[in-house]
Amino acid sequence: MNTLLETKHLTKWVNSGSGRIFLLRDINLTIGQGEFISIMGPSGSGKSTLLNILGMLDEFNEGEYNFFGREVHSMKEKHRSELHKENIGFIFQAYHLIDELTVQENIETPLMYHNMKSSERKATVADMLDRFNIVGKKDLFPAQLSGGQQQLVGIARALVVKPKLLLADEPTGNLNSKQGEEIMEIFSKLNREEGVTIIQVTHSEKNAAYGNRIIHLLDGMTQNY
Amino acid sequence: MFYNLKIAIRNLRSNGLYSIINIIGLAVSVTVCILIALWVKDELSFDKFHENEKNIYLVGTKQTDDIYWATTPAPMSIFAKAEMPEIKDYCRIAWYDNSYVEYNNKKFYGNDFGAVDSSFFRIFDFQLLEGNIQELFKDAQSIIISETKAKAIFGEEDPMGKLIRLSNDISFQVTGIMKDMPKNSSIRYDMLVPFEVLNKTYGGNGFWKRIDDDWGNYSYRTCLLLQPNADHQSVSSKLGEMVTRLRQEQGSGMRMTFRFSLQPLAKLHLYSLDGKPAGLEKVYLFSIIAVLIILIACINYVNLVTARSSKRGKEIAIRKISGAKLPGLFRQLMEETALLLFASLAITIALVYLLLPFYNELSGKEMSFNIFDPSSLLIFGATTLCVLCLTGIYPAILLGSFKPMEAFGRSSTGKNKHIYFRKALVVLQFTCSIILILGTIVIGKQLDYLQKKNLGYSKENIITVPQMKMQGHYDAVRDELLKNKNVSGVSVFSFDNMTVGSSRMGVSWPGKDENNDLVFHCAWSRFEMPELMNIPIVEGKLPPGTPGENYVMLNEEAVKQMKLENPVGAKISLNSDNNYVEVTGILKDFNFAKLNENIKPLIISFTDNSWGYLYVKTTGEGTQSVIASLEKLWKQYNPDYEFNYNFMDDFFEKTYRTDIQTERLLSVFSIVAIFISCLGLFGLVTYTAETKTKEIGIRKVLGASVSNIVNMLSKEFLILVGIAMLIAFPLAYFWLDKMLQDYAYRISITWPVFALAGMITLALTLLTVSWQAIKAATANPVKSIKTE
Ligand SMILES: Nc1ncnc2c1ncn2[C@@H]1O[C@H](COP(=O)(O)OP(=O)(O)O)[C@@H](O)[C@H]1O
Ligand SMILES: [Mg+2]
Repeated sequence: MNTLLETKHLTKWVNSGSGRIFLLRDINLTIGQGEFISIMGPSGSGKSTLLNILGMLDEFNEGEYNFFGREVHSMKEKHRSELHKENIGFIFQAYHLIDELTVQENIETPLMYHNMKSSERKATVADMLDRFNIVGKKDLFPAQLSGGQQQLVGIARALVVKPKLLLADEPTGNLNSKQGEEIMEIFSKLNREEGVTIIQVTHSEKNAAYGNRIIHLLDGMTQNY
Repeated sequence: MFYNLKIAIRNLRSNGLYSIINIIGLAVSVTVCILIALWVKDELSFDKFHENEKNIYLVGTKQTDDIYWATTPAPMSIFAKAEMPEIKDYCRIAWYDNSYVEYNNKKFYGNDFGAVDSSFFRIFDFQLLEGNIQELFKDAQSIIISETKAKAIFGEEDPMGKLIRLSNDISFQVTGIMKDMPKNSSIRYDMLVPFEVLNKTYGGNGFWKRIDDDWGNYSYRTCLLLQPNADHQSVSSKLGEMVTRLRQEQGSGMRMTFRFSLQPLAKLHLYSLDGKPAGLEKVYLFSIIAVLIILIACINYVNLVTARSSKRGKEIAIRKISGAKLPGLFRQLMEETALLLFASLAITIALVYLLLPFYNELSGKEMSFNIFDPSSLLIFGATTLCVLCLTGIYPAILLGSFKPMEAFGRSSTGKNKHIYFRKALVVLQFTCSIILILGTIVIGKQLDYLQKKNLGYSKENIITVPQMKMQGHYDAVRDELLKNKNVSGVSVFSFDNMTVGSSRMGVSWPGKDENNDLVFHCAWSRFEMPELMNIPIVEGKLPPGTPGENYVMLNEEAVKQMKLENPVGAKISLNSDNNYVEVTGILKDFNFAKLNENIKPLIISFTDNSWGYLYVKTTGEGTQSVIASLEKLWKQYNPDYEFNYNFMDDFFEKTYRTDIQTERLLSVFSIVAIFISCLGLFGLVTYTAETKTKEIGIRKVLGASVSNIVNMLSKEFLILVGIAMLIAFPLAYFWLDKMLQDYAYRISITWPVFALAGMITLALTLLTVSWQAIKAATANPVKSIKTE
C-alpha cells in the first residue's frame, strides 16, 4: 500500500498569557492511499485541529508533514494551498454551504477555482447531481433543504474536484441516525469503489466502524492501544 | 432622553469604523460647503449694499456688437441729465493717477485715488464719517480720505483741514473722512478728489479746452442714478441718439452713430458688459459642486446605515416586539444621526477656521468666518438641516418600517432588498467625482495649453517698466541701458505685457466699404519692437527716418479684414479726416489679448512721444544688474514714483489669474469629492468583507486563492465605478466642451483625457477596495469558518 501522508512529531501550540497551550503534541501518523480512517476522541481533544492541519488549512509549529511525497512543512503558503486545492475535499458538520448560491452553484464553486471551462463545469456538476440524486433540488437555496440534503450537497461539492483525500469533520453530527447511515454508506462506497482516502472525525462508534482504522485522540495526543 | 443619548453614543461607538467614516465624510463635506458658501456669498454681495442699488447704472460704450468699453466721454452725463428727466443724478469716476501722498515730509505709498463728482456719496452708500455730503469738496483741491489711510498718515491728529501733497505736486486739503470702502465693492478707492481736478491736464492749447467739453476721451466711468421706474433700455438708446446728434452739431464731419449700454451696477461684478453672466457661471458651478459634495457624504451615510440595516434590523425588531412605538424608534435613530452630525459639525467649525487662511489665498479673496455672525449661522443652519434631512430621515424611515419577523427570519435568498438602491447611490457618487476629476484635468490642460501656446512673439527675458517721465528721453534711456552687457535690446510698447487696450473706429482707407466700419486695436511703439519681440515683418519694412506720425504698420488680420490688395504703401486715414498716413509694412499676427479672443486688426504707429512701457530684453543672465540699471534710470527720471518692474514671464499668472484660481479650487473640490466617495466605498467594502467572512473562509477551503477572493470582493465595486464612468464621460464632455467655448484657442477633449480620469478613479477604487479585500482574503479560513 502506498503512503498518502505521513506526520512525524507534529505539534501545534498556542501562546497564552502564562505559557503554551498544546493543541497537538507529537502526532505520528502514516496513512496509506485508500484507507478509511476514523478519528475519535472527546470534545476539545484536538480532532478538528488535526484535520485542518492535514487539510493544509492551518499551520503547525513543529514536526514534519509529508503529503504524497511532498514536504508540507517546508512549503510556501501558495504551494500549500495549491496542493490543498488539487487533492483535498472538505466536509463539515455545519455543512458550510454558501447561502446566496443555489445547490448547483454551490457544487460548481470549487470547479471555478480549478479553471475549468464553463461547459465542462456544467457537465461535471450534472454528473454529481445525478449521482447524489439531487437533480430536482439543483435550483434551490441551502435554506430550502433539510440537513441531510444539505450534507449531500456538501459531499457532492467536496467530491466534484475528484480529491485524493476526503476530510470530514463530524459529517453526521447534525443529522439523525438514518441520515447519518446514508452518509456513511456513501463514504464506504466511495472508499471501496473509487479508492478515495477518507479521514473522518466522529463521535459514534457505529459510524467509526465503517472505517478500517480508528485513531484515538486525547488532549492532543494519539492513544495507542 | 438621556437614556436614548446613552444608547446612541453606544451605538456609534460599537460601530466605530463606520461612525468615523461618517463623521469624517460629513465634516469634510460640510466644511467644503461652508467654504464654497462663503465664496458664493461674497460674490453675490458685490455692490449690493447701496440703497439705490436697483437704480444705479454704469454706462458702457458699445463699440461693435461685441466690443464694449466700460467708459464714456466726460461731458455725456452733463448733457444727458439736462435732457432726460429719467436721470435723477450722475456721477463720473476716473482713476487719478498718483503714486504717493506726502505729509510732514513723509511719503505714503499704495493708495488708490479716484476723481469723482460731488454727488458720489449721495448716489452710493459709502459712509462719510466726517465732512459735509452737500458740500463734499470745498474746491478743486479738496480730498476725502479713508479711515484707515487717515490713521496711517495722521495718527492721532485730526485730519480735517490738513494739507497733503500728492505726487503730482498738487496740494489737497482734507475735507472729509470716509469709512473704508467694502471689499465687495466694484468701486474702491482710498482717496477721492473732485472730478474738476482733471481739468488741470487741459492747458487750453489743445483741441478740447475743458474736460467737460472733451468728447474724444473715453476714459471716464459714468454712473447714472435713474428714477425708480425709469426704463434703462430707453435711456441707453436716448443716450446714443443724443451723443450722435451732439457730435454732428459740432461739425467735424462726424457721421458716426454712437451706441451705449446701461448695466445695473449690481450686475457689474458677475456679468460682463455684453450681458454674459461670466462671473455668475462660476457661482453656479461652485454652488452645484457644494451640493454634490454634500450629496456624496450623505450617500455614504445612507449606504452604511442601510447596508448594516439587517444587523440593526434585529435590534429594532426586538425593540418593536417589546412594545416600542414607531415614533420612539424614529426618534432614537434621528438622535443617533443628530449626535453624529453634531460631532462632525464640531470638527467642521475647527476645520473652517483652520483652512480659511489657505482658502483665502487660493481664491484670492479676504473672507472671514464667524459662527456667531447671523449669515454664518444661516449657512451653518441650512447646511445642517439639509444634511439632517438627507441622512436622517431616509434611514430612520427605512429602519422604522422594518417588519420584525422579516428581520428574524432567515432571508431565503440572502439578498438585501436595498442592495440595488445602494448600488445606484454609489454610481451616483462616482459619477459626480469622475465629472469633477475630468473638469480638473481638462481645465488644467487648457491652462497648460494657453501657457505654452506660441503667442507670435517671444516673452522670455523681457522686463517692462512704465516710461512715465522717461518719455521723450527714449534715445538717452536706451543708450544708457545698452551699456549694460546683459541688456540685449530695448524698445517701447504702449501697453504692458503686449496687450493692446485701446481701439478705434472710423478709420478709412481706399476701397473701404462705408457700411462696414472696422474696429482697430491701436498701439504705439518703437522701431526696435519687431526685432526685440521676434515678430516677423511679413511684407514691407519699418517706417523710414525718425519716428513720426506719418507712417503705421498693420497686422495681417487688419489687411485681411480691410481687404487691402496692396497694403504696403497704402494711405489710410485714422480719423476719417484728410490726414493720411502710409502703411510701410505688415507684421505677422501675434496675440495681443487674452486667448479667449481671436486676433483682431491692429494698427501700430511709431510716434516720438509714445507714452507706454519700456521693454528691456536681457541676455538671460545678470537680471539683477539690469534691474539695478533700470532703477538708476528710474531714480533719475521718475524720482517721485515707486520703482516697479514686471517680468513678462509672469504674464500668464497675472492674465489668467481667475482661470488659475478656478482650476485650483476645482482640483481641491474634486480631491475632496473622490476622497469622500472612496471613504464610503471603504466602509462598504469593510462591511461586505465583514458579512462575507464565513463565505470567504468556505471559498478558501474550496480552493479559492487570495486573488480569487480579492477579485470577488472588488469586482462588484469596479463594475459600479465602470458604470459611473459611462454616465460621467458624456455629461462631462457636454459641460467641458461648453466651458471651453469661452476660449478662442482651446484644446479638444480627446480620449486620453477620459483614459486618465478613468485610470485615476479605477486606481483609487482598487486601492480603497483591495486593502480590506486582501485583509479578508488572507484571513485564516479555519477561524473564519469557526466564527458564527
Ligand atoms: N486558536 C486557538 N487558540 C486557543 N485555543 C484553541 C485554538 N484553536 C483550538 N483551540 C482549543 O484547542 C482545543 C482543541 O480544539 P478542537 O481541535 O476544535 O477540538 P475538537 O475538534 O476535538 O473538539 C480546544 O480546547 C479548543 O478550545
Ligand atoms: Mg471539532
